[in-house]
Amino acid sequence: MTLLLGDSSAPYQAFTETLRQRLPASIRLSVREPNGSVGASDLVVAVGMKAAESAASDPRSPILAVMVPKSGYDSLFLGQKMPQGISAIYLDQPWERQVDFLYAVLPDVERVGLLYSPETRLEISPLLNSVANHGGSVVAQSVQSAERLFSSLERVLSGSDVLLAIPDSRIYNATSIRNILLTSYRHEVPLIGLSQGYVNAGALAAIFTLPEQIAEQTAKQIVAFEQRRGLAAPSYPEHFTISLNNQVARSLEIRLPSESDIRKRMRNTGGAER
Amino acid sequence: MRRIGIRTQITALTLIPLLVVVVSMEAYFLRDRFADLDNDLQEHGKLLARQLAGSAEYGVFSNNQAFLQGIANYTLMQNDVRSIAITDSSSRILHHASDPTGKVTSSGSDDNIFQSRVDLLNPISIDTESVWLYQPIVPTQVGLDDLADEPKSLQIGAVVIEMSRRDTEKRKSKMLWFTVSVTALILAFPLYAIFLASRSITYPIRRLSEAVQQIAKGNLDVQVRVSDGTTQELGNLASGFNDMAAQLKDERAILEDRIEEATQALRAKKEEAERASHDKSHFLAVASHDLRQPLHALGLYIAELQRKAVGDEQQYLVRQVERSVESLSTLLNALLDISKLDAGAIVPHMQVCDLGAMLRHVATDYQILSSLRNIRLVIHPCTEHVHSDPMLLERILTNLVSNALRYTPQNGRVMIACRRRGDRVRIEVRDNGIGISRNDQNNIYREFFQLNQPQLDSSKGLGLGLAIVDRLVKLLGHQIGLRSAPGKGSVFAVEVPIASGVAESSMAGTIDSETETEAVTDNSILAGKKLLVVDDDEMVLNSTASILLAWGCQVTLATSLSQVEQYLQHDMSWDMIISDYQLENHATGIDVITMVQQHQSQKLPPCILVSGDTGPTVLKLAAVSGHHLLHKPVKPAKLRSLAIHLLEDTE
Repeated sequence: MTLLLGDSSAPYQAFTETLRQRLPASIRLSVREPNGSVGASDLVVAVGMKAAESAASDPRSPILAVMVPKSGYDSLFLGQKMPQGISAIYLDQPWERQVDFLYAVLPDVERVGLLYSPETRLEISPLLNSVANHGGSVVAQSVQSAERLFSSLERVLSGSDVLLAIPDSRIYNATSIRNILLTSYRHEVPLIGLSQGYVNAGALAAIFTLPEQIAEQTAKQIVAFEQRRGLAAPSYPEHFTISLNNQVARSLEIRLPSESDIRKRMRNTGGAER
Repeated sequence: MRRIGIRTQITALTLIPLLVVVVSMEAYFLRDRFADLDNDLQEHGKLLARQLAGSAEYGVFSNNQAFLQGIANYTLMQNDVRSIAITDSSSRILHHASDPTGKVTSSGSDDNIFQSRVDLLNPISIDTESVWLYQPIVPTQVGLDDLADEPKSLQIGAVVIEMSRRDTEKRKSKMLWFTVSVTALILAFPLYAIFLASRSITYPIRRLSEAVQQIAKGNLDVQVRVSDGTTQELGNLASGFNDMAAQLKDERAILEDRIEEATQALRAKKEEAERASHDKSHFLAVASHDLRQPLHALGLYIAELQRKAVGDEQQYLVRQVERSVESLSTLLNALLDISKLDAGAIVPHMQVCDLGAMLRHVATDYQILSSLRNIRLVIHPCTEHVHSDPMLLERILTNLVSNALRYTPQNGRVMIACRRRGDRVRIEVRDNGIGISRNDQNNIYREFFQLNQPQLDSSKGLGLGLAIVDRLVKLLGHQIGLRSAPGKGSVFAVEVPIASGVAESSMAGTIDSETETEAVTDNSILAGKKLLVVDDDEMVLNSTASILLAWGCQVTLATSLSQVEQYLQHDMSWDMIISDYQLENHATGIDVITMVQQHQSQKLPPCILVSGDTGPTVLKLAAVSGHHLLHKPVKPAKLRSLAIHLLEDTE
């Protein structure tokens, strides 16, 4: 069993730690860095996009890619024949869950703003459906370049009640997030983020999955792989974490429901997960 | 080298190191502070730029002019900020603002200025007025925990701040002035201290030097005041100086006492000497008077005796007595002269003398003697006037002539001649006598020295003539020389200064030799003449009377002034008056003449004064009163010739 780590940063370390705890002792785990040859193994668990790319370049063993965005996984493996078997546990949340979360937090939202870049490869239709199911509409605006971000942002914010972040680092990154948040704040439009970082930076709320949660799911997958000698289809994470920014809510004069209320509402609207 | 005062030296020594230290320290301090100020300005500018860049991030991102203007104006309110420019990533100026109080710059043309001054690579530019600072605007990074690749953070713009250096420069100059003033104060204190200290040195020194000058002037009472402020060494010096001055004063007092004592002693000695001298003079005067008186009488008696003696034997005896008396008289005169000269009793009275008259007079005196001895006495006429005492000079000449006659054999020749030698006259007395050997030439001026000449025994002198000449020459300041060789005669030469202005000398008793020779045989004029003879010595009076009677005169005798007065009251008158100079009760012959003149309305008869005193006062009085003066002992022949001469004149 080879564990291929993208790097030794904190999320990966947390992931590795949790995985070791969850795995039975019979399963031997060898941890590698993505550079160099991967070598033959029963199963290669590639953590992060870099490890996934590395594993994909030397596909001699079955690959389980974890903590990768769905778009990344798709661009890497979609359409490729992998005889040894390949699967993934995505980092991002399914659209339905995102939208359910959005409406659980802000039930009165009518227009959901969305920014996308030409490079964005997302299946938008589930999102549109989900929003439509909640009785709202999506206001999408494309961003041609970083310089044009402000005008696109202005436009999308002026026509929406909430801005929903998408996992596209061309739009949402460490550099731009502050200005995006400032602009949205000036328009009194809350932002729904994709990680704890968004909330820390000033997003109203975020729904995401922690590395530990993914590690638990991965451990289950590995055990299942041991037993069945086959990989399940790629899946979204089962578990998720909710983070709220009450300070921002107060600033925007939004009454936030409690986390448990949010989870309850999400369950009520038909969201699958716990 | 110029002499530098103590104060200047002390000041230089103290001030120069202090100045170096203070100035260097303050220069260092100022440099440091100036650098700090510049640095502060830069840091302040950097801080403002960073702050502005941070706050302008969103404004640049959103190209929000109002926002940018707000923060720019806020920044402009900060001290020292002169202008601000905010550019986007393509260096296009999004906003420009400048301090309205500062230099107004047009915003449009400033683009290039900003660009040319500073950029990312040269973030700081400094000119004389401003500091320009460039700060890129880089978006703040916010971690999103999304495990996505972080794109390189890009510069989205820049902030350029122009910081005015005006205030900084103002503060610098303020600081500079402050430092300079402090330096001046720092230097002023030691200067004042030096002033005080050096005053405590230079004042005492000045006082000391003044005191030294005072002492140099002889004022020993000087005391240098020692004040408390004086340094110890100078205090010691001053007190030492005072001690020295006091010591000097004491010594001088002692010395003065001693000098006073010595002076007293000297004065006593001098008085003693003066007394002795006076006694001696008195003795000499008395002696000359008292010794001459009898000799005078003796001469007159002998003359009388000679006339009355009968027979060859008696005549011979009388002639022998006459010769003895003559020798005695000559000896006495010479001895008295020497004594008076040695005693300093004779004071020369320098005046203009007619040398020619004097020589004629000398010649007259010796004509008879020379003819008796058959010696030719030749006088070369002389017209010079000399500066000398006439009496004493004549004495010198007579002595020389008499000396020459004495040592010249019969048929010899004695010549007197004058030669002008520059401003002097050389009076030569030549003879062709026996001459003087070289050895004897050194001795001839000694008293009682005589050449051993047996042939000339008969006219042997006393050996005092040349001794007197020598003394007189020295007394008058003239010079005497001798040229002589044995057997070839001698030449005595006296050099006398020529009188600058020629004036007739008032010489008493100059007589033409012709009249005398004429009178020798002529008795007739004396016969029947009435003569008044006054003398306090009866012996002299009688002898004079007897010889005058023998000459055929009518003689009235008086021993005192009062007796003369009695005669005058009886209306007596005389053809001639012969009076002794010194009479009783301090009366003189001049008083007699004056009295006669007062009583006689007619013309005053001729007067002859006879004196045993050769003192200068007598001579002078006689000269002043215009009367003739004869010295005792008076030779009868001389008296007779003078009397005849005077009587002839009156007729």
